[in-house]
Amino acid sequence: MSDGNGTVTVTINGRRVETHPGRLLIDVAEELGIFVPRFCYHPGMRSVAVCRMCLVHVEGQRKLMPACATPVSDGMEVQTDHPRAVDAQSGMLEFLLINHPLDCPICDRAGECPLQDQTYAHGPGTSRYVEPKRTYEKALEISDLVVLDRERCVLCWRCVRFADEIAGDRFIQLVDRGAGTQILTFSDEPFDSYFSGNTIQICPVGALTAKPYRFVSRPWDLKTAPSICAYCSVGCPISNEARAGQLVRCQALPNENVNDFWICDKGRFGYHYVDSPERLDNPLVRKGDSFEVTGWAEALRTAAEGLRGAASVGVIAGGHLTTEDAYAVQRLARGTLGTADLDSRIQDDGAPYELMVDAAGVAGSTATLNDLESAQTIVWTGPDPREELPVLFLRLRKAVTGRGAKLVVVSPRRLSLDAFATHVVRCEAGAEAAALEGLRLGNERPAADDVASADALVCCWGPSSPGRDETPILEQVVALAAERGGKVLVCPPHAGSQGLLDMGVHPALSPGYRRPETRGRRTREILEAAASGEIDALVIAGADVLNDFPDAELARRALTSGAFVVVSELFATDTARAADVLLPAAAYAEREGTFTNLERRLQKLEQLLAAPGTAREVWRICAGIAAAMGDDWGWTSFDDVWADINASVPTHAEVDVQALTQPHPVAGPHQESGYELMPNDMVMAGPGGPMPKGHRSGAAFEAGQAWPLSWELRSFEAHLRPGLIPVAADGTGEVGTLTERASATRREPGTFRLLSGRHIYDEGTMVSRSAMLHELAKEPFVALNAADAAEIGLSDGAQAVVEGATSVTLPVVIDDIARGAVYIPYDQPGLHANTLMRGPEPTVTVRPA
Amino acid sequence: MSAGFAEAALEVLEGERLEDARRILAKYPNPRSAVIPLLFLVQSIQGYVTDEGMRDVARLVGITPAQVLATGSFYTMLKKRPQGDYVISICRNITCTHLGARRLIAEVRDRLGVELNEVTSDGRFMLETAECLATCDGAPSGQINYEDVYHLTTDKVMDMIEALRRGETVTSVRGEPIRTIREISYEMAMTGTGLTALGEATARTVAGEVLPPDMAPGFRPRVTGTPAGARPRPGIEEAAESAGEMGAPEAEGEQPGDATGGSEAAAPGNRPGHPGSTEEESR
Amino acid sequence: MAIPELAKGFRMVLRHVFRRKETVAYPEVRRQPFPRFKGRHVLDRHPDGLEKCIGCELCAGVCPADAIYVVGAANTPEHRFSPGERYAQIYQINYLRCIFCGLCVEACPTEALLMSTEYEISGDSRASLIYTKDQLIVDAPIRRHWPTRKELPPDFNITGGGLSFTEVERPPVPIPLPTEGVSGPFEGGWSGERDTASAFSDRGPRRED
Repeated sequence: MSDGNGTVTVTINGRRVETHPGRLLIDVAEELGIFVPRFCYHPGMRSVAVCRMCLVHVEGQRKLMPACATPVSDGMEVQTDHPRAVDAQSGMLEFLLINHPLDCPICDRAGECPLQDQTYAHGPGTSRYVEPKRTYEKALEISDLVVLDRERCVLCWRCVRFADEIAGDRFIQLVDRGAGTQILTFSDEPFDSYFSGNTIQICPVGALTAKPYRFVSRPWDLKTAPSICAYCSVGCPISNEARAGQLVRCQALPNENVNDFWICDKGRFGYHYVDSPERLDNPLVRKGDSFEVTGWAEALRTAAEGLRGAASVGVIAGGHLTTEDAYAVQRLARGTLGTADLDSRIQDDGAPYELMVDAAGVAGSTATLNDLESAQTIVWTGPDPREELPVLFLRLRKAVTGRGAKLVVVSPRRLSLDAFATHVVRCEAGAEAAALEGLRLGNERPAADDVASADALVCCWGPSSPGRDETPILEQVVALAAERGGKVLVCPPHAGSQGLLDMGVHPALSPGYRRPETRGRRTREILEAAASGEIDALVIAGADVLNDFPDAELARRALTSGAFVVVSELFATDTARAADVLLPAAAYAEREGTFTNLERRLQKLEQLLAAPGTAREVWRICAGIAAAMGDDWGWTSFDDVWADINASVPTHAEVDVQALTQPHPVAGPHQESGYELMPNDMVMAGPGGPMPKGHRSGAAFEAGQAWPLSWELRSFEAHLRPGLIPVAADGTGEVGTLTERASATRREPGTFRLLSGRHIYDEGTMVSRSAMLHELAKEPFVALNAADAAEIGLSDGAQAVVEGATSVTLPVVIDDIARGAVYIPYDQPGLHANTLMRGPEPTVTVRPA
Repeated sequence: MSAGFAEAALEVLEGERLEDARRILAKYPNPRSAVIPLLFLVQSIQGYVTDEGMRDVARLVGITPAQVLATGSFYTMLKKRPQGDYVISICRNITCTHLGARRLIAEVRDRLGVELNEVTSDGRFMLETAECLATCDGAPSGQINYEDVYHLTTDKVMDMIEALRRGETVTSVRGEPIRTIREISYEMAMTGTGLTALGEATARTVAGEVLPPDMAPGFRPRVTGTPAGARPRPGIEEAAESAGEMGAPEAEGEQPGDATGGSEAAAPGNRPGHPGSTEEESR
Repeated sequence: MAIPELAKGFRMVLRHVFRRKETVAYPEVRRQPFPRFKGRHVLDRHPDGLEKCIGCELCAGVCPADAIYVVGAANTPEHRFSPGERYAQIYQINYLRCIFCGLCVEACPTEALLMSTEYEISGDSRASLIYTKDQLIVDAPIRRHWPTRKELPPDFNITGGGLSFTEVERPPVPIPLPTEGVSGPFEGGWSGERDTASAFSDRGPRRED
């Protein structure tokens, strides 16, 4: 009975349960451990009830009801094992199998196929159908990554709904609806979505398969380990899957706090670099113009000698280091080497994360990703999230299109968010701070009205373009959030970026966001000092400064000035080739570790593979260098590093790193899995755990309520891990005085501010060694405002000479971009845009070729 | 994709046709509602719905071509392959089959010298089969360009085809001249925009009811009041409005006051498609 | 006490002394196994010369000894090895592990994998006992002495001899073995045999880096 707290009591298979009205029967049953078979229902998407597999008997209803589209109501009595329901389920499976080709032996899905599994559990053993089956052309490549087999399709619409609801890339559709319904793309328009791989994972049959994984393995061949995607700072949990010691597949693991159920295609298909033959496997020491392979002892001794002999050392760490690596780099720099000159900001050099410490007590976000979904208004200023932080783009899109949040985008150029933004404030490049101030003071209407009226406001900021000083922008973001009682989501670029900040790889922050005694040099200053000889040794960990630092010429001079350079890297990058000692590092799948994502959530990676040769973790390399210099840290294991971190980093003092491997606590006993007959002892209803929101059925979830687990997730059951956000001291909520804003000045005609940003498939160290993705990288271009282009006599598609530090000819794209600015992608094949940049606030001239 | 919509990128809907397209788009509060009429507009230009046409529609409406394909492929009157000028559809359901439709289809097919759903060598005629056309009283029945023709024999069909080939006027059982696919597609597209290729008051229901010229052929509203031309023709806007109401099942029993012409008495015999009212045409 | 027992034992010995011997003087004398003896595997071909094996790995999946290692790959119009989409790029049977149970043959959905009567499998190295696809696959389709379907013809006769390797009427088209020009991962698939991977993989298909 309803108890006045808005709960209802339903009885499912004789078991009474109290739950919230409006929740779906299928979810409530699953929490009880009663699995209702289904194909079309997916907890991450709205119900459509098209597969008719989940029909159950509801007392008092003449017809069977689809459990995925029936909200629970008070006093409802449901029987999922009613003879009529069982009969209907068996009949539906027989219908589905009428046209399903029995090519399981060659189907990639066989062995983990919901259709196979549910046919075993609920289906008829034989078919009465003897007529010829529907046939289509097999193995249709609908994109560079996805292969479609329409014969296997059971028309559950999951891919179509995903493309429509979640990604917004409506390139895959139901065509010829009627008796001949099929899934198809438009003739010459492939399924080019950055999220297309998710449709492969949610396809309940083998209709959509991954081209890179095609015929590569069988599910029972795979060894898997949960991990965290090593690309961007969203930190999506993934499962790495290897066969015979090679990484062959990555799948999304669900974490509703972070990625829901989704990952981007870069995370899913960008794993080939791990097994690349170009990987460094043994230490190399420079002998004249060439490298010589050595053992670790000699390499570390050489490095130690070089560093000991240096008057001043600069340390630069790249954004893909784990939290432990970050701590080790910091300890090596501040402890062993005794230098304050260390930084981890390469592409985002000068991004003022440290501003957040005063305001919020942390050099990072005060908002979580979940806050986006309860926000009424979201303000975005920063990079294009679809290119640089793809799953954050999905979360933003869900907040706006699914939750009705208002989105205000402040940007000098068109971002993918504009498509669904409530207000787009197109400001001049350099005038973002002014625009944000306008939002704060109410001048920038009507966007300011939505900001002012929001009870829950989240302001997002990320470094928007390399080489720019973003201090005034972040100050305004913080001030805006502080004034409206909002939260700030800080979006650093890479998987390890936040961990590096937390661990004090920053000239003005020591571990735990404390202020160091001496403020050191930032990346640009380190490179300048190295170029001028002030710094005569560099330690570079996982950073390709030559290609990533927004002043290629400065980076080149720094590396060739005669400074002693120690580099640890996965590959012989351009930077690594300038090293005196080159130490091979282990990739993310080859090690244990943690990444800290943009909401400062610690999540753990497990080791799946052996590193090539003698490559090892960066923390081991740092400890080795320190030991060779006579400073033995006594680290031999991952736990040793964490013991040190617990002891020396106040914010992380309470973190029990091994607890990060704990899955969600199991909510209760699950008596009826319904799958006793199935292989692998699958337990369908799984662990519960706190799920702070309930987007599935529109009803609010309570804390501690069980989180139902579907068969998609069954193999990951043990790996469902929420991660942990370390608690930090509160800040003042204010930044001090705001910096004087540089007013947007008119420049000479033909001279433009150079805006740039990474694209999802680029020439990055890892993507460029992932064959499948590297082919997708687009050619560079220069985007201009139509009026600017007309002024200098350029049109869409014309060739333009862009001259900055160097000169390059690029095709012109007319785009919605502020006047006085051009946009060039940062790192596409044929052009590292940092070669055009010289000094801060880079500008270029553009003229017709 | 650029933020604005670049007209220069349109391949099919250009010039006057673009004006037509804008007129269609102006009819609807949500541009997506215009997909079907716009596809008919493409069909009126190209004779069938081409990929380029679907791309244009997608650009105009602001959806992806795949969505246009998904919508358009449901409708059998929107053909994705060349269909010639005239589509001959012959019913193959029970009544017509009993009266020899299968043989009829086979014979017409052989006489035309093409397979079903293929266009004749002169590129003008295509034979297809149809599911029940609700004209069992005229069985074996069919349609030429969706105009009803009754009591078909192979010779009768071939005579009509030859007449059309010679450029003569062939009329349907409703006495309407059969027009080409392009013409009727244009009319379908422009319904409700005030533009039509038809002259005034030539569209006629089976019951002899004169329809406003902007109503699509084949659209048979429930008719009350005086038959045959005596009914005042509502304005274009009113027609569109009443058409909308006709489409909704709840509006079935109601009539807009201005369309009834003051006559309250609904004559059951005048319901369109009722056998009693078709004796003149079907004899 | 022991006398009767001894007599009983010697009587048994004496009786067998005059019996026909079951043993043969191998290798001078070699016994013909029964036609359905489960010996070394062979991979069959279709009459048109295409491989029957589709690389589905079901044999490997069912193998209780984990003796079979298969890696599939996609057929292309230029390089077609089997009908359909998939073929076995790598097919290896480790005879150090094989227990000749025949489950693999039962699991094979295309009747590609059969067992011949060959039982003389020995070698002087671990590597030489890992048979690769080019060793297992026959040059021409196998003519069976039993029908492949359940319905037995009236003139069915099981005494026709073992698997005969004679050609059928339609000569097979020459097709390339996938040992050349095929690159793929995973040259060593078994746990526990990894130390010998480099030794055996130089005979099998391997990646040319």
